[in-house]
Amino acid sequence: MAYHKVKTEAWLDAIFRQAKEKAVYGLKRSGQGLVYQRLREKTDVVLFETRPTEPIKLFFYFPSELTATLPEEPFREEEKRVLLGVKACDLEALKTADFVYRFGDVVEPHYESRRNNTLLIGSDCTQPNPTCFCSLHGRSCYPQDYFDINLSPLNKEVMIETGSPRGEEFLAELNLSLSEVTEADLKLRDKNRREYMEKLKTINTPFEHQKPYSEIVRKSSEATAWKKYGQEMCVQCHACNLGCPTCYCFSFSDLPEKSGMKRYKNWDSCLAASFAQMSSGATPRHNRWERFRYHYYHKFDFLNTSLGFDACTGCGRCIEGCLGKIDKRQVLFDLEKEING
Amino acid sequence: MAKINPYQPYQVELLKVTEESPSIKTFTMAAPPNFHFLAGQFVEIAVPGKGEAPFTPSSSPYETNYLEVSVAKVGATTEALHSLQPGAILGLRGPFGKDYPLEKFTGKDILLVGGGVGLAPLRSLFLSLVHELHLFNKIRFCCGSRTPDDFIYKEHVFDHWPKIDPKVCLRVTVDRCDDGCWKGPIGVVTKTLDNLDLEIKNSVAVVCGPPIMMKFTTFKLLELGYRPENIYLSMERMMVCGLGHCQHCGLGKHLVCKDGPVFTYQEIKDEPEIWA
Repeated sequence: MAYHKVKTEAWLDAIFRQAKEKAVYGLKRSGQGLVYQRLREKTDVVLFETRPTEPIKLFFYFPSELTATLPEEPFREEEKRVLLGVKACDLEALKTADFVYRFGDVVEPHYESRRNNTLLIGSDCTQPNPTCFCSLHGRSCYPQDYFDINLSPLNKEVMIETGSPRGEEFLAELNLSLSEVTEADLKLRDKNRREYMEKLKTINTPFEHQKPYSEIVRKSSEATAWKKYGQEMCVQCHACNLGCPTCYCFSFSDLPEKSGMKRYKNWDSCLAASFAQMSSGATPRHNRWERFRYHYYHKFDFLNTSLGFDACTGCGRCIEGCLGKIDKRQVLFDLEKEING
Repeated sequence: MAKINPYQPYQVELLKVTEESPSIKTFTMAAPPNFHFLAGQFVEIAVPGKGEAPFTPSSSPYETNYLEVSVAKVGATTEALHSLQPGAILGLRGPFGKDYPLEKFTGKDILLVGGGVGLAPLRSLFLSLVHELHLFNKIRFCCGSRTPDDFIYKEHVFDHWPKIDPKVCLRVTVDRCDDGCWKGPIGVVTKTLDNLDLEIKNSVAVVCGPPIMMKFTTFKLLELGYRPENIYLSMERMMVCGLGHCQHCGLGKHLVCKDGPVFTYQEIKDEPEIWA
């Protein structure tokens, strides 16, 4: 909507002032990666670099959350909060969750409340991980939409791009002395962005593919790669599901209470043998490789049909977390090789 | 406006429990205010604190004060349900999914084929059909069960329904009878489909039962000349949320909870997981 720039220090000072009044989450270093932390006192915050280890869904649907009770308790709106430094892959992931929970026939009110009350401040991914592959999807590592505000680095300044009226309002609240963005600033930002994408290209050269992933998956129902990866290598640890920012499947767990029950909504995994099992014990996907294949079908075929894009953003968390050392890029590469004969 | 939580069940009272067979009971519960379902749709019933499971009501959609579900004891939730007495409180969500498209059945011969607890949705459909019997031609209801004891709705199947109207005819069979008490035909339900006395070209068939029965019945119907778009199947899957959110009930690209549970064979015949 509009571009501005400001000194990085001034931006951070303003954010920490906000953090005194509302919940603001930013990125900090932890081990090899980054994690979100609630900002309180002024501390080191990573504005750019890469996506955090944890997927953004943790802010919108929780590994386990109370979702209903008997007798019924009144619905409570979620508190207002700000997420700072959200990367393009995670913003893209919200499109899938929104499609299911917000824009479907029936709205999930807890999710919607969290979405409505969360301001998203995106930022360019300047240091892609070795497992990152958003570029192989034809996506970019810098946010192009779905943010309220986006930040790009400009030497000792940040370029601020507003993406929504809510982002404009928040920026006004920060009361910053903003400078106008020049042609040279935009050129610098674009040059930087090309460099980040070059890094991604180098990382992913061995996995380059010709056909879109959706076409590859749709044509490979009989491929032997499913058995190689899904049966021989997959150890069904569910790390790919749990770390995936677009995976949204869940189960209910009803626990008894003195005068009723509490219903928890828990993340579930399509790789689990019990996932599609009916009470009779029958399951449509008895073999692990069938469930492994279904995971790909869901992301690259079924959801692609509904969304118009893959429900995989190339964040690479599934590769990073896999205990069976399965690289999704290699699976898709091998599938394409097979269908090309 | 107050937010509606679709995962929140209504509290309903269990009014009556009817033992249908050694493993199947019918549970009659009070319908919540303004509750209305159509034959073929399903509901989620919770035994508070024990679990929730999907069931297709077996009662008539025209009964607005109560609804009934017939439940086989096969898992933890159904076991808990089977242990309940009238007066117990249950959780109820729904109705969910697509119903049988009765408007497409108008003026046609209708064949219902059910096996075991699969008779439950068909009972609801049958009661909807006889409620407006003048709209339809002949109705043939073919029912099968493993043994005579396993038959559900015995009174209705053997006594009441055959007498409803000359347009209505029931055929019953059992897979086996060890003590010789059964005087009717013995064999799987597909055997009742010979010499149907229906105009197949102007007929729709509705099938519900265990996967293996659905599979062979569908093949038999195709053999008889039914077109895939005139064969209606009630698909069973693990419907957890009922709303298209949780993904447990995926049948290929379809979600049984939203796109079904009633499908034509034409819609799902190419899905490799169809008969699982």
